[in-house]
This record gives sequence, structure tokens and C-alpha cells, in this order.
Amino acid sequence: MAALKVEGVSKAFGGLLALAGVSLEVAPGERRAIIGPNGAGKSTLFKVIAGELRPSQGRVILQGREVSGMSQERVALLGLGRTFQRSNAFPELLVWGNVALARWAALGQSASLSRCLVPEPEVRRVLEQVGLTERLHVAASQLSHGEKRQLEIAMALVQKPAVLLLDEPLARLSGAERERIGELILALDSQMTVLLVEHDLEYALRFAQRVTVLHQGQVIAEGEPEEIRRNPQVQAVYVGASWTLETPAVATRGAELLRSEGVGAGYGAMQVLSGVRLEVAQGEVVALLGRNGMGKTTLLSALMGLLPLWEGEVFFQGQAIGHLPSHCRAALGLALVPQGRRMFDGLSAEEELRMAAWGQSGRWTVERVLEVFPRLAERRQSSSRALSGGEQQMLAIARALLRNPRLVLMDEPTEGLSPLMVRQVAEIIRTLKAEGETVLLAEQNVQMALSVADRVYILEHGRVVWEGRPQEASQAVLHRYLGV
Amino acid sequence: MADVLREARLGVAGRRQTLLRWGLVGVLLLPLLLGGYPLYLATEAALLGLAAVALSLLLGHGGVPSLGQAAFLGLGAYALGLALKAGLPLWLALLLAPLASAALALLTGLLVFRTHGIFILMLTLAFGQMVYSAAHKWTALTGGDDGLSLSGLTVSQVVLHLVAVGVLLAVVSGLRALLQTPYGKTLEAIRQNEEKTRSLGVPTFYYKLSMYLLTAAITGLAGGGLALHRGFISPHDLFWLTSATLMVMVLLGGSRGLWGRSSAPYFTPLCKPGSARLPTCGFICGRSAGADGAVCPRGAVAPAGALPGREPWPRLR
Repeated sequence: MAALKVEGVSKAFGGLLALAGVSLEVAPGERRAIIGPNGAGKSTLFKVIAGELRPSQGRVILQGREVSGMSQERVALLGLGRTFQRSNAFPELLVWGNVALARWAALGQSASLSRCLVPEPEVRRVLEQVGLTERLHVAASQLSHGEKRQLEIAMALVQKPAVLLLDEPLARLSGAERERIGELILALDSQMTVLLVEHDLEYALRFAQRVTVLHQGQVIAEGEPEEIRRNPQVQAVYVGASWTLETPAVATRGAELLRSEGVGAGYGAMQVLSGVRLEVAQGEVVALLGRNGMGKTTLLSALMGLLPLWEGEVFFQGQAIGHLPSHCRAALGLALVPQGRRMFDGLSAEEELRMAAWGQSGRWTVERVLEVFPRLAERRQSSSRALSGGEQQMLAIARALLRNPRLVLMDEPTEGLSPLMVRQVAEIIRTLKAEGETVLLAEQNVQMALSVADRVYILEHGRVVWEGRPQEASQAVLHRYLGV
Repeated sequence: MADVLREARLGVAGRRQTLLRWGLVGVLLLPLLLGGYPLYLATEAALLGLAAVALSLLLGHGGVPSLGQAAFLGLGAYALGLALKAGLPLWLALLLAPLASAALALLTGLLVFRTHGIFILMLTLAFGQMVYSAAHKWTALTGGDDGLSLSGLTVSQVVLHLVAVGVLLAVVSGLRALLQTPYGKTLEAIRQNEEKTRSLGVPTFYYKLSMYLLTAAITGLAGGGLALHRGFISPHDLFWLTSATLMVMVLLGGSRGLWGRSSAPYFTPLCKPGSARLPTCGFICGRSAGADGAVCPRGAVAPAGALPGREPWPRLR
């Protein structure tokens, strides 16, 4: 009997089909990795299995028992453990309290009134297993990022689940913590069935006995890690196939516009970037590639001045700007198109543009922008929140242009967009290039980025590991992402 | 070194806390010596304190922002009043008060806990106002605007005060013990992250509902006590402003500590007569309550808890 069986599960959010008939079967004690690019439906699949979301169609069978349609607390009591993408232990409870609570919940006795919560031997044992013994009496909020992950894993383990779902346990972790938690997961009890969603493919393929590849809500491949690595379809999903690379027209480069030297930055105690060296010349489109959590957004934030530099320096037109606050950098001509587009509530498309153009003069005016983006001209009266994802992205880019910047930083402009919209965004970037704008583009959509870029950097764990021309990049990306 | 300092700090905190507690008991008993109006106000404060403690459990530990506590307070009062009018013995009437409120909580809670956050606030407010309307309009039963008088009743002020203080202390101690049990910790976990708690296999709906019933019962008991104490029940005490006042008391006492909470009402009724003559007094009360919520979740009346370096669990008082 399979430990977990998913039969033809579909899940629609409004018009968007996040899962389109996913089936998979996981044997008891199996290690299964579920991989796929951003937005493939991996997290949605986990949510459906755990009962947090009700499938639109299909069934989920846990140890021979149908659980689809049950509440998530019932599914949990039937033997499904889970850790979340964002670590979320209970911050005000002590470390042992978190684990003790999880234990009582699994025993179905958390309503007990007859005794106090104490750190039982079982709780101590699990905390020792994950390496948190010394932090037993600390509030969970005081733990480091990695320790919170460890705590979450401990909370799942103490419940002795038959099937454990780990949703990106290594995301947003730095080197040493990454290693520690990676080892912890590899050493889990072999009786337990473990499903892992992870963007670090190298790790996922090392962990798994079998791998399922999701793409646009469908299973496109399943097999052993080696097969998956060589599967041309999987490679196509990660690198894309249907994009033609432009041959660069001119090899001459303009004057240097932006240069970073040995830039390091991070959040709290966690260093994300170290020694990043990068150059952008006038009129160039430079692509910054890298998987989730490799430091792309952090780098753009550091360049824009939203994050303080820990080390190194940033030069803009030869002037050191590392110490300047972000509004001064904006005044010098840097503009950021943030991830997620960020529309203002209650403004129409045109009002958003007029607001961005306030007090600006230069070659980009609202009229000029509407000319270049005819789609926005058509929808100028619509509320900006009601625009489609692609149109919002257009608007966000147009907003940035209206500041008449010398350099536009774009953070994943294709995130969450359909393939058609992705092409539109690519078209916009080509238009900008034709207009002589300079763009630094952080992207996950490798092929789209390569099709518009003049030069490419690949970031990995906060370092630049490759730089070169887009024509040579495909091989490098395959090597870096899939280890081929 | 740091450990020694920390020990010392905790020692001071512990002593200060003990002092505060005895001070509190003193404040509760001192009015007995004074008698008269101070005693009247002190009993009122102890009973309102009981209601505030219930709300603090609901708000500070369960994370349920209820703006309908006046309904439970009023229902308890009417239950006691009507039971006494019907000739039932006092002990039975005092039992009916919390039961009636808990029954209302069960009815409304089934609906209220299908939503979250601000919607809970609005729903409890709406249900509270419905009860207010009923009490106001159902003249045949409640006497409507004229209120319900319990004039035939003679309860010794001193006995009532002692019982009120005793119940308040017992409830605070009982709830503190409750918060140490797996049930209590689960409630706190639900406040901090309900989704996570559910994913651990806890049917959070029933936890919130049961806590709601418990706090409603305590509030109902306080309402019954207030009716006995005042000898009169006015439907206007069921108006939502009473709920808001309770919430101010809770904020004034800090959103967690139950001891602080039970003492906060002493300031509120004392300010009340003052504020009629001296608007600034009411303003100061309001300001400090507002600032509390924003700046200091431990509250103005809970200085011991405001010490740095203390951990969350021992922090519960």
C-alpha cells in the first residue's frame, strides 16, 4: 500500500488552474523530491495534500484512507506532518514549549487541563536530534533563522508522522545553516516517508530516491534523479526552448554606468551577498540569473540603497554612492521596478503615471509612455489593481521610466505571469533597449532573460559564479541549475 | 557575570511583584475600613475587574477582540434579577447568571468563530447591540428604560465586597493555572499562529469557542454581582460603550498580565465621577490607555513585567 497517493488532483483559483490533474504515488519510507520552476504548483500541491486547500477535482489518499475534503487538523492527526516555507514556530513560547505543544496535539490531548506543560524526555530527545538542546529554554523568537527551521522540523518529528512534507526547508538560509539543516534532513528516520519541495536542485536530487517534476500544474516527468537530470523535457522547462537568441548587433560597449566592487550585504546576522563584482555599461541590458534565494533581490536592494552595504562599494558614473540613501540614488538616476509590481489602491492607470511623472521633466513623459505602451493607453481609465498581471508590470516599468532614470533595475518582472505575458514583458525590454535605456534585469525565466540580454551574470549563494555572453549561458545555466 | 546580574534583576522583580500583589490585596481590603462610598466604589471595581480579567484572557491570550462583553455582563445581571423576582434562591440565581451568558456565547460563538480579526470585532459588536435592543425594547420582561429594580433585597455591603474580592482572586489564580496547562498554551499558540496550530492537528475552532464560553460565564457572574451590588439593572449598561470601557480597562492593565488587569478597574470608576467635573481626567485616562496599546503591551499597571530580559512564560502574572 502506498503511503501517499494523489489521484488526478486539480485546483483552480478563479480562472487560474494551479494544478491540472496531478497524480503521484509515494511508497512507504520513500524519499521523494518535487521540483519545478516558480509557479509550477508545488506549494499548492502540498496544501491540497495537507487539507489546507480543497481540491477542485481528484482525491488524496493517505495510507489507504481518503483524506481529500477533510480539515487540515484531521489530516494531521491521521499522520501527516508538515513544515512551512516561512518558518513559523510560535514566537512567544519557549523552544521546548513549541515541541511539547506539538507532541500533545499529536496525542490528541492538547485540551488537557490536569497537568502543566513540561519538557518531557521525548521532547528533549527530539530537540537533541535536531541539535537544539542548548536552546531549550529560549523563546522561539530569539532563535536564528536556521534554528527556527530546526525547531519546525523538531515540531514535525515529535508528532511521529507517517508522511512528512517539507516545503523549501533550505530557502533563505546561508552556507553553514544550509549545510546543517541539509544534513539533518538527509539523516531523518528511514521509516518515515518524506516529500521535499526545494529549489536547490542539487540538494533535492541528492536527497531523493525518486523525483517528480511539476510544470504549470502538471507532472511532466517522474523518475530517478539521474534520469531526471538527463531528461530533455526537464532541461527545457528549466532553461526554456522556444526562445531565439538575438545575435548581438554591436560588440562595442558604451561608457561604464554602474560598477559594484566586492559588495556584501545581508539581513540581521545573515550575510547574503559577498564580494559581488558587477558592471553595467551605458545602453546595455544585463541579466542577473540565479535560482530562488540566491541573492538577486538582495543585490538590487543593495544597489538601490534599500539595504546598507556591509562591505565593498558601488560606483555610479564613477561616483561612489555606497553611502548615499536611496532617494539620493534615485535622484542620480537609478530606478527600481520592484518584485510584485505594487500598484496603488484606488488609482487609475493614468493617475499612477501622472503621479510618477510629478515634477519630472525629461524625454519620458506620460504621453510618450502611452505612445510606447499602447496597451496602457487603451486601459488608462481602469483602476490599476484591475489590470492583468502583464499590464500591471507594464505600468510598473512605465512608472520607473517616468523618473527618467539612467539605469532601470528590474526585479523579476515576469514573476507570476503567463507565457504570453512573459513575451510581452520581453518585448517591452527590447523596446527599452531600442530606445537606448540601460537595464539591469534580475530574472528566473532564464530563456526570456537570455533573449534580451547583452551580458549575463549568474549568482549562486550570494556570489557571482559566472559571467559572459547569453549565447554561452545556456550551458552554464544547465550546469549550475541541474548539475549536467 | 551576566547571569548574576540577571539573577539580581529577577530577584528584584520577584520582590517587587510580591509587593505589588500584597499592595493589591491591601487596596481590595482597605475599603472595608473606610466603608461608605469608597466601599461601594471598591466593590464595583472588583466586579468590573472580574469582567476585565475575562476579557483580558479572551483578548490578550486568545487573541479574540470582543466588543460584545456588555451583553454577557447585562445578560448575567438580568438572569440574576429575573430569577430573584421569580422567587428563586440567591445561590441558584447566582448560578443562572453565568449559565445564561455562556448559553448566549455558545449561540453567537458558533457564528463568530467562522471569521477572523476585525470581523470578530464587528460581529461581537452586532450581537451585543442585538441583546441591548432586546433588553431595551422588551419592556414586559425587563422593564425597558425604567430598568429592573431589586429593591426588596438586602445583602450586606461588606459580605458582598469580600465575596467579590474572593471570587476575583480565585478567578485570577485559576486562570493563571489554566494558562500553564496544555490547553492554555494551545490557546496562546492559536493567537500566535492559527494556521500552524491547525497543521499540528488542533481543532482550533473548539478551543476558541470553549474559551469564549468560559469568559462569557465569568463576565455573566460579574454582571450578576453588579446587579446585586447596585440593586438595579439598567438596559443602558448593555450598550456597546460598556464593552469599550472594559476594553480600555484591559488596555490600561496591559494586554497580558491578569493581575494588572484586575487592578485597572480601580482607576476607571475613580476617574468616572472625576471626569464629569474635570474633563482632563477622562482625557488622561483615555490617553494612557491609548498609549498603552501602542507602546507598552504590558500596560501601565504592570511595572514588574516591563523589566527587560524576562522570558514570555514566567512573564504571565
